Amino acid sequence: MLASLWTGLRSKILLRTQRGFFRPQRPASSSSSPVAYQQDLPPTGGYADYDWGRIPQKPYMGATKQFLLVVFMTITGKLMMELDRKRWRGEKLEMLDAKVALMPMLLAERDRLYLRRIRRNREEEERIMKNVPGWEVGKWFDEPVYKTVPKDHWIDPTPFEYWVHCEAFEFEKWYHWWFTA
Amino acid sequence: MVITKDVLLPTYDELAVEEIKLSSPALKAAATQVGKYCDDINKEFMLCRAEEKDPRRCLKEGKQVTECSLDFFRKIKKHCYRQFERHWHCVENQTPEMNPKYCRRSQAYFDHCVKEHLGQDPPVIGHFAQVRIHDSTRPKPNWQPIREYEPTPSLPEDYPKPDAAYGSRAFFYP
Repeated sequence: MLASLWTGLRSKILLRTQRGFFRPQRPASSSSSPVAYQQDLPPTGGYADYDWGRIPQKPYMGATKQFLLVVFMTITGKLMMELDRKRWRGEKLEMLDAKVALMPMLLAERDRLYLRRIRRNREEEERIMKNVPGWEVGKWFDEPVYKTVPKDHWIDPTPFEYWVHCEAFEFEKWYHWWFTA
Repeated sequence: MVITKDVLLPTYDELAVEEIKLSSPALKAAATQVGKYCDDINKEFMLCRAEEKDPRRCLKEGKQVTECSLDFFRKIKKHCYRQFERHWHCVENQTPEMNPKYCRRSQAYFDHCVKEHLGQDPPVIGHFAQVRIHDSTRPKPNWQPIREYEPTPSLPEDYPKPDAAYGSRAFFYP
């Protein structure tokens, strides 16, 4: 069976090679009529002349019109801008109002926090330095930092002094929001 | 620390006050109303702070400020809870800077409720931003200079000033 298959395939291959395997085969029927041959020519009377002259664009607006348009647009824009600025000013004023109205409340709370932390710092320094002989709280041993001020004079501590005894996470949480008095 | 033992600091008990436990949208939503409600007390406190420049001396005023604000918010909670909640939710959700410009409807309801129960009109826009005068009964602090310096001694007017003995030391312009 294999042998018969092979012989059939071989004969077909041979036939194809003789005819040309990859070439287009001639159609089976060759009964077509010939088309009338015609030379491609210019139209009767010849082509029209080519227009070599310049064709300018048609202006759709004169200089006066353009100028007036610009003036109109400028004035309208200015007026609209003024309206916008008025509105923005009002909005800003409203926000400023809210801030100013809240400020005393927030500052009162902040002052109490501030004094509480300063007291805590002083107690902490006292606790830490109690074993150091000759150390006085708020001074360099017995030498005060400020010498010309009266006894009970208030001087705001610097931020480093204010935050020195707190935990690191507390500092990181609050120092963005903190401001000196 | 620069705070020595000579500096009198208030104790913890003196600083312990019931604070206002509200978040910023709620505060911002009621800011102008609470500012108008406690106007005199707030002005007194701010004047004290500006004049004294010492946080210890304005504790009483500060406590009054907090008490007054707390009183206002308690009244709001009692009478206008729904309107206020709606307004500050709106203020919180509309813009990150908590601008009330998209919350006019809820603001109108809130203002109406405040007018009805506390009898207070909403302040005009720009009321707090303008310069306001405040009459205070508190005496003005008398600031003394820390140290008086003696004036620097100078030569008398008719002190003899003769020319230099060997001319000027300037080369180009003798």
